[in-house]
Amino acid sequence: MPRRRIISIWLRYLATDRAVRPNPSLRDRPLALVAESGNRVFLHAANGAAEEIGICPGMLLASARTLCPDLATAPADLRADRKFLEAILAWTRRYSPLIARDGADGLFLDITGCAHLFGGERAMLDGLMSKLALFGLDVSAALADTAGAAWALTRFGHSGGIAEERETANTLNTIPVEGLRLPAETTETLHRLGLKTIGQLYGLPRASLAARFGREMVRRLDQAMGAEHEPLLFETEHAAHRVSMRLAEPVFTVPAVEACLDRLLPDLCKRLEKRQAGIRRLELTLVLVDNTERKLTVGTAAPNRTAGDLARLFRDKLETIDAGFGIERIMLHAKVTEPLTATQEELTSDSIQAKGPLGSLIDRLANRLGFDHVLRFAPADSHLPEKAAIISPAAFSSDEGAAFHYMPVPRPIRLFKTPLLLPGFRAEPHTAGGGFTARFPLWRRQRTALSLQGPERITPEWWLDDPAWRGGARDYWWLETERGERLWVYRETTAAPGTAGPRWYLQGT
Amino acid sequence: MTANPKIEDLRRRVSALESPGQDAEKAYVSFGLSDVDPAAGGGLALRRVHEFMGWSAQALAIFMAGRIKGAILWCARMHSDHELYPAGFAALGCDARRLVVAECSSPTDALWAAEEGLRSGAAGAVVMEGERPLDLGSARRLQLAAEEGGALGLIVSAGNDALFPAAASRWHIAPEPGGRFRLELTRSRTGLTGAWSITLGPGAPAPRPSLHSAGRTEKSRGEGRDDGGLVVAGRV
Repeated sequence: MPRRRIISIWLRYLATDRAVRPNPSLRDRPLALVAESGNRVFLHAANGAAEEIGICPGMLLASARTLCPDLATAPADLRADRKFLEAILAWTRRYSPLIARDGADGLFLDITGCAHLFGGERAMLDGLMSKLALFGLDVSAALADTAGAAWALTRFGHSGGIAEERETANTLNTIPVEGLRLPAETTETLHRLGLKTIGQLYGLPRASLAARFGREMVRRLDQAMGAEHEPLLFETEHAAHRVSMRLAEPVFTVPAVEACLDRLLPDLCKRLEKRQAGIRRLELTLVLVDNTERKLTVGTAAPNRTAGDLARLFRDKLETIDAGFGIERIMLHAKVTEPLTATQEELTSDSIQAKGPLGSLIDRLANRLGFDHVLRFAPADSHLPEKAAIISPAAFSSDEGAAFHYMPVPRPIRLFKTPLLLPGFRAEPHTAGGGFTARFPLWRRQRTALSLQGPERITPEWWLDDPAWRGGARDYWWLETERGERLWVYRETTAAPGTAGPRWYLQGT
Repeated sequence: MTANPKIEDLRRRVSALESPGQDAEKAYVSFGLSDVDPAAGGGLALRRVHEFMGWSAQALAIFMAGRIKGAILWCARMHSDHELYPAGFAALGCDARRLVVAECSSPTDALWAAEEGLRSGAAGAVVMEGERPLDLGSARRLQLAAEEGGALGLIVSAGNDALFPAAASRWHIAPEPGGRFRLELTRSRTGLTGAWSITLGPGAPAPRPSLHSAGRTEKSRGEGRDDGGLVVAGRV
């Protein structure tokens, strides 16, 4: 068996490199990512320029500001960092199928037997580093026989270093003991004893090393030397979630692609069924003859593995694809899946999907119109007219839950997004009763309206400051114009500063 | 689907019990108004697309959709200055939670959404807010989709002009004094037309005396009425 060859990649400033990607002008300025803990703001990460002037992660933001008053800051986002590393991991798959994460800012690539494909180890490592640097990443990488040795070279040797096969001991000779991935106390003790480099440990008796510093230290040393195997947790790609098809002749038309989908999707769905999973997001990649890619992504509201439903989601989007000189490869990748256990078919139902036909209709609508444009209403706990309903994407809500109250005073069925100011509103009270006749211009016509019902006083929620309700309580009236239009208007009870009197607004019809 | 006729029969009976306005055998949804229903041939036929015009067209659509069971797909325009307000639906006898609103940025999207909704059979009623007159081809597509899915299609516009050339029936509704509405049938399968003064509310509204009922030939729009607004006329 050939010796393993492992590349260690260290993305030292991963968090800040990610944060400046949308705004590269920040790259050379001192920048820190901050996170709050209790009442204090700490630095979560700092970039190279900041570290040069002595700012390091873990500092208080206030102390960092005294060192560098114009320190740029951005909020830390651990989730985004993790996703970014995941994206880099996916990208490095072109070098090797075996990739493991190394903490939050590093990767291990097992490239055993891969190097010749990239012109040798030197060309491969240089290519990898220069391409990562093009993404705006501060990258160091090294290649050695073991993960431990590569890790040490990356951080304490020179970047781009290669320890030739069976040269591990010689290469690590001058590397400081910190390179062994030991706890800080252990390295401190080693330093106090004058053991500064890994090479100094080689000749020492193992038994006394283990007795003095613990098994862990000897194990780390053995792992770096290759005397003990170090298992790496490689991130596997779920092959079950991908299907692809290579076409003998390039295709151009939508029906041709649909025909391919009809063959690929049942295959994918069958595989997912074995894993009891359903698709939430599905990506279709069309590889054209000129090796460019076109990607389409569809989403579903609930896990789904009905081939027909999924094919229909692509139908409208396929028309937007420019097939160029033809499509020669079609790939489907279930990017997000969720558990979906097989459900027993109902006696009288023709669908195995728990969400039913309405769910798949909502999916189809949402994939074309956008998930935030297919909506459902639910009652909200507020007496303010604008807040009477919670509007949420239909794909992620249901019609269950409390019903809307029956309002004793009628409510309009259409509400203006912002109430229309009615300038020149003149009300003449009737002699009998509380009603009035109003004259006002609306929609380029002078209107005369009788009050039908009112006033209904609605007071603002005093515990919330809502700018729309700064005019105080409102008296709502139903008016009926001479043409029969019913208007839901209100009058503010306090006049806004600089106006003659309380103003009238039209809010609904 | 099961092919057992007994189960089919049971399902039909259950659905007839569940929704009094909707008779599965006759496949129409009634207004619950003893005057209006006969003129419309029992009510609005399911599997057809009908058109409501006038200031209160939306209110009538909500009222009729509330009489059908199942979800209601509402294909709305996205860029208007007002939006549907669900708190007002209860007074029309419709549970707003049944509504699925599809905000469409273009008339093409709205047509597509309405067609998908009608064809899927997943919604009991599909309401489309009309903007401009539809061509015969699109109208025919909607009609075929409604037949396939078995839903009730409603084209709703606030104006006074017909937009949908192939409507199975066409209604004009506008408010009139006293919290009532003037409902006018301008086109129907039976060939009858007519105008009525109605109220829209939850449950079955009590039948009201009609303003007048007009026959096949009589022009019904714009006729005067007396002070009480109640002129009872016999059906031709």
